[in-house]
Amino acid sequence: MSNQRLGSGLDFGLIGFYVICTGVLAFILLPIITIFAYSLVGSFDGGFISSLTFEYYRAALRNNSDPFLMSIQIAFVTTLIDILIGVPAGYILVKYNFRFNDLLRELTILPMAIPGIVIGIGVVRVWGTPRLGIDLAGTTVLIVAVHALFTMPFIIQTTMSTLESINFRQLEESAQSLGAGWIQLFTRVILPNIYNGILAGAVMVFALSMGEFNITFFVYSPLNTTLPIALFGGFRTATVGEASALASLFIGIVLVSIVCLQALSDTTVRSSGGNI
Amino acid sequence: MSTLSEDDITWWSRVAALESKLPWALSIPVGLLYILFLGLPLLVLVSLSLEGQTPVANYIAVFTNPSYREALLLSVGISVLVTVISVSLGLIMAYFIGRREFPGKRMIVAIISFPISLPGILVAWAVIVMIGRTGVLSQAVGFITGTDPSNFSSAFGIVGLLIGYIYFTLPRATMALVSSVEKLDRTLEESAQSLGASKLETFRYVTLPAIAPGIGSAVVLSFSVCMAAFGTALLLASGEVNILPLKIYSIILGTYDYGVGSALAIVLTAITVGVIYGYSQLFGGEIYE
Repeated sequence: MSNQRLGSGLDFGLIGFYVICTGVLAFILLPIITIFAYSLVGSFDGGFISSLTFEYYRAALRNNSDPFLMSIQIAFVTTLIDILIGVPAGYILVKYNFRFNDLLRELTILPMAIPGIVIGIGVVRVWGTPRLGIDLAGTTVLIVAVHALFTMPFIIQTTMSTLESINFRQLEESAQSLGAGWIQLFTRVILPNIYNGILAGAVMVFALSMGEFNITFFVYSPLNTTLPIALFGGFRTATVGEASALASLFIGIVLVSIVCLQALSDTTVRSSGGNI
Repeated sequence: MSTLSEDDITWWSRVAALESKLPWALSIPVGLLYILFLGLPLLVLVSLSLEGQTPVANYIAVFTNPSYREALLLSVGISVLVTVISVSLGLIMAYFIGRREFPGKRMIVAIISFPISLPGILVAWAVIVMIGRTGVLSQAVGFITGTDPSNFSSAFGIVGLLIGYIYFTLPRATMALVSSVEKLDRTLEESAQSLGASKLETFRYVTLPAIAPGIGSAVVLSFSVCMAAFGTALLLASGEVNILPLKIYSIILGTYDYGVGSALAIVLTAITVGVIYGYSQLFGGEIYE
């Protein structure tokens, strides 16, 4: 290695890197550690050990059990819908070379590219009043619909890149030459090969749905408050300890998702995630 | 065993024809989802934005009314500043992660990519517990200088906003850059140096052009995320810093002026979507991979 020549003495590059790296890691970790510490003691005025308590977690769960369950249910249904309709869509975009294919590919990422507040305001304007005899205003169905829309690009992109990585054309040709129809082909040949990739995408979708705030903020009603909405209220009204406990629980969910992701696929975490 | 009759064969071929159309049928719901909850809402916003004395009256207001123009410029300014900081720091991190083997590398990558999956609303809380009125850093500085910690509270305002945005974009920028640094052909740099180029010249003329797509994607990701940020800003800077998304929110929910509000929303959309498609035109790849 050119920059690790023998006898060049101290490697200033590496030292500089460790300094910057330590700074960046501290920048990322300190707030997380602080939130966790606050969730256990409430404030740093007294002694740390003597004020250690789980009371804030109990209070956070007691006051937010409904949003918590609501978010988990919404995320579960959203993930299911994404897999059921998003995977075939991704499959078609990769497999067939039809007119407007490129255009459709670019259009599918729009829910990620358009700011959440714009989608939120537009959706409320359209579906905030009964249309075509359907009244979606304030319903959980509307929340699930916008979550499915917002997360759809992730599942479609995951499906497309996984399919492209397994040389599925050859697999399909061999299966078809043996007389398999599309259902057999898809369930017996394609699915087992892209299973891990799709599962990883599904975990990502679940985490994104759990954390979605920007669009949900415009379509929720007090009856179906989600966890991020409750967090938003909690940060303004609840005690520091309780809000931190709620935040820690959320960080825990994200951590579990990441561990699942790492276990499912060896690809690194993608650089795109939710919106702030 | 009887042989297949003529009818059986046509029936089976019909089933096969239907089956081959199944993937298309399964994709229809995706199309409906996009049309009903993205296309239609956008169309409504566009048509609302055109309802004025003249069709472009609202758009003229966006660029001439000082309050709207300031919101637009402030958003762009903050996003550019955050992008510059995140991509510069991210490039240093990526350069070393992609180049060197050192103890704890996997751990460092895991930590740096962690905030990508955090909801933005949590990032706002992280800023508050660090530099809010009772934040640990405010308290520490207050304790050291012997003054009231709330003097150092800077979570609610532009400083808090900047820190929150960097917290969210630095990991994205780093991860977007790591893969392009890893792909870099090191022998090219070595030959440039053996031909007498300085380290800086090598970086400028060899390394930089090679990782340009990675830098482009890091810039676009950081910039568009900052421009679109809403939840974090609502918690940290509502009423303090009038960035574009907060301005849109206060116009539409405060004054119900859907004309100007929609025009601002469409301008914001044009900017974020524009930079993302600009990237794919320039580098021929997609930003979200």
